[in-house]
Amino acid sequence: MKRSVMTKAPFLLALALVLALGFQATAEESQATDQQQPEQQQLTEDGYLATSVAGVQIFIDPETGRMRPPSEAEAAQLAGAMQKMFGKPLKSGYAPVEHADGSVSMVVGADYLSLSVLHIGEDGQLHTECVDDLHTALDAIDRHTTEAAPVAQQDEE
Amino acid sequence: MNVRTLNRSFLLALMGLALVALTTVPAFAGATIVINNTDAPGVGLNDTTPATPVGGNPGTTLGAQRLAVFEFAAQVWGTILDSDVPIVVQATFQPLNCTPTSGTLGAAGTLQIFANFPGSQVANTWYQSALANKLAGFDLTPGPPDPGFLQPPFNDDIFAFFNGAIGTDPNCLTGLNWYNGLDHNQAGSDIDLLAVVLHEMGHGLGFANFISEFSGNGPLPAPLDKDIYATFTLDETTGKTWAQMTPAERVASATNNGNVVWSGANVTAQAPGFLNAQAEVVVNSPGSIAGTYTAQPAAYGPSLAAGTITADLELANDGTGVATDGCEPLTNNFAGRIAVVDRGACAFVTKTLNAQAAGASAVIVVNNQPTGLPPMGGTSAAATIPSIGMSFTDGGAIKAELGGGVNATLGLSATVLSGTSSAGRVRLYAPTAVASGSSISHFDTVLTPNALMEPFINGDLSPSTNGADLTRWAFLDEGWMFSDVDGDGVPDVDDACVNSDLGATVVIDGCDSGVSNTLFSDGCTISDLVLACADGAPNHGQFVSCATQVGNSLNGAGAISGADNGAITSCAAGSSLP
Repeated sequence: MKRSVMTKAPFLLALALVLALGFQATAEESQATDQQQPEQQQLTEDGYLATSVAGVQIFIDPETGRMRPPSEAEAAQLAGAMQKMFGKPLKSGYAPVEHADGSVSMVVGADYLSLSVLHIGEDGQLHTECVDDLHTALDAIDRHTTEAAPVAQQDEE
Repeated sequence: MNVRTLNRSFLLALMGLALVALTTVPAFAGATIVINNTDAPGVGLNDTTPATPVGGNPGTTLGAQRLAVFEFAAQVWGTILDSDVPIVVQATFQPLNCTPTSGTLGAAGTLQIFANFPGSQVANTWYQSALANKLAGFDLTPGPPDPGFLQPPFNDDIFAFFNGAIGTDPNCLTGLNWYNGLDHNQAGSDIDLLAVVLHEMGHGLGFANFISEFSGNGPLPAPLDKDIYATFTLDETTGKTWAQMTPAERVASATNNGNVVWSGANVTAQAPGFLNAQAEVVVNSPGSIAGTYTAQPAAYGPSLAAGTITADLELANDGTGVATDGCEPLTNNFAGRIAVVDRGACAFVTKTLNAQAAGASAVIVVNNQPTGLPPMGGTSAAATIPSIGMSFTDGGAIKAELGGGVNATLGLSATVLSGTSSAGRVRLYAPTAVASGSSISHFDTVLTPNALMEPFINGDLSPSTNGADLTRWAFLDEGWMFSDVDGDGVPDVDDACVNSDLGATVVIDGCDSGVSNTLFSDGCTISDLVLACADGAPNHGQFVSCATQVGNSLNGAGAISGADNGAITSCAAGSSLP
């Protein structure tokens, strides 16, 4: 007999991914421009800290540091990342299940994965890095495609 | 009869081996890792495009070669680790997001995570499926292999997907191709598929956390907000592991560069056997900056292990653009001096060769990035002087004093390893900006030599480092056990005799010599060595001669007495071997 521990768990997982997307995008932008530039954050009427990241609003509870539930648009963006990577939609955000023996299991699908990304530097050298989510991989691909390699990478072998 | 081949060099090396007590421990016969090929007929792992066998890969079609690489990687990990429960890796090769200059190579992860299961060693802690099954001793999700990629019921343990567009789609990483050999011997324009599969599979087996470095949150709210990897992720500044931290503390720790380490006892204990001594620059004068500074040795040129170099330092000047970058021939005469150059604009090798041509005895490359050390990669047979990299801060302090004269010694630390903290723990990757998505779930890039589980999959991996570096000891810390088929206590990957004769005394063809059957630290016993003589010996005389040599060598090394030697020779002579 299995029962759901948290019916909102898929929700939280999606949140975690969206949160990761937001902060990662911020970090990437920050690195590309000014690494010390602070984020622009505002407190919303409902008490969440709003941050604009790559054109996407994310909302954080300032007391807990947790995201509020994702909006439809945010959920759609997550699904879009899946679509872009795999060429087909993949499910994300599964429910944990508590078992009779007290153990807990949770299908995580592609929620926790590590990806190797390669880009060809301006010097022709190959640069491989391992990242830990779809968004970072997609960001890295887009960044390396649209921007010149960072100065720091130019002399790496 | 238990007979294997042992070469003579091994026998000679034996003389230097430590003796260990011969105690039988439970045997662990490796792990069976099964590849669940989820590709449709004719594509991906089933691609029928003809291919020429390469690098030990016997496949004659593209699909067969790809599958062989997966199976080889599975065999590598299966030889290292032990589990009574088969590990199922669902695999696919399909076109992934890609452009002519950048693209995803592949990925892997665990399909399911478990906590508080029978055999779980740490409460309220998530484990990857494969490790959870191993610890439980049974399959927590029994059933047939999953019917397709990431499709229910998720009985498989690990998923892995790799980019099938590379080498087939001209708009995907144009000009590159997968190297499907099993020997890490790829050409410059090829991508070593095996290295990438081994690395990603390593994540799926347990070298990864389930905590966001950006939010600090785990899969679920506390207490189920931590995983087994976090249990061993220690911030030496706070003294807390990631399992003990709040989300906010984890976020802060994720960028605590140089101070986040793997706390597991096995990795720490084994680090001296894998890592080189830390390169360092000792400033002798002036007193204002005198002291020891950490450095990154170059991958090319002579090693500092050959000896220290003490000399005055001088800033490079090539008279062009950024004159201190050393990218053009230098105008200085560096005879008897160490050249100081700034990082950037050209290859490290170029800087070294320019300084070398100007007479420098060594090169210090000062980072142009605010944190970390220059990677100092490259290859050059022409480089005859050592090169090291220094941080922006440390190098800047030295550069500021060059006008008044700076004398320094380049060498290797007698106490600190390259890639460990001062406490001797191996560092995890925690750059000051969590921008790459690689933080924490990798070893630090400062490890020398490179480890499989660094964020940048390095081209210097060799067959001998197939997962057999510090990674496997991290797995041991997490609860995995090593495969040890003969139960001699020496892991198979370290065992020169994986099926040792572990009898109490040396018995030759039924003749009990009465000689204690010593087990050596490489996993071989005296019986193994003697019986190996029978393998390939053309006649009885040659067998007896070989056995006598073994006895003499062991006696000479003090491993057995003269009487023991005689007893072995007597039994060998009376046997009917080979």
